[in-house]
Amino acid sequence: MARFALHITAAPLTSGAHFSALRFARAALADGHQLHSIFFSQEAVSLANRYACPPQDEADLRQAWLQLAQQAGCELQVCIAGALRRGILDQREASRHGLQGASLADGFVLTGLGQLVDAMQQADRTLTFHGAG
Amino acid sequence: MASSVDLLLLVTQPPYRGTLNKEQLDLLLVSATLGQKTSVVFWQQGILQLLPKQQPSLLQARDLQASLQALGLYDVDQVYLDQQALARYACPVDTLGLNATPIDTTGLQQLIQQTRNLLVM
Repeated sequence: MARFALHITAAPLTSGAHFSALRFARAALADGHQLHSIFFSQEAVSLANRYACPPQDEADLRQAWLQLAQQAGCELQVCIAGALRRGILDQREASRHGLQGASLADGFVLTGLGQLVDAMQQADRTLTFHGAG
Repeated sequence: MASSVDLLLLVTQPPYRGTLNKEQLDLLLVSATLGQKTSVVFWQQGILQLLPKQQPSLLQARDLQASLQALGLYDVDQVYLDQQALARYACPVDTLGLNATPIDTTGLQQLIQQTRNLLVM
């Protein structure tokens, strides 16, 4: 059994990277491996935007990640610096910046790069999903 | 083989790639600060980040030069430069103002084998 950490940097909608990551994670769990950390940074943080509303006939990526995280028993961590730059704030950050209402979706947590370093240290393998470019 | 590097960052992107360059630097500093043995390779166009006399303000970009030159002070263990890219872009190592070691493809291969976590950015 191996312990995996996932690091997603790809934008949710411009490549198949998120779906690749989800397929990998499901396959790893099905094989009895452990997934102990999922970290979204760079363009991937857009996934955590509460106000993104995909059309009903498209796969709901955010829902798929939430289900996976529940299955794996781990958090969905979002790079706080990248999130703030892109308008994705939890209640605390919104208040701190004098804004009303949080835009971070439920089930996600804002956290720092230190968590990614920590996750890599604990994992047997960390996989990064970059997307194109 | 035992890992002698906890985190190796392979920097392949040139400067002025939006916030990416800053994120690379942040990750190096956070990792080193947390006591991880951290090394970085500036590979291919990545070495262009280190060219002297850049004027980032002309592009409204953040000036990362001072921080990049001081990687050693921030406990980043080893800095490597792509030997082939140095030749290709005609950059003598000593003009980059950095205490760094040139590395070729075989050297990089060996380095990756000694590395626990590799990140390509």
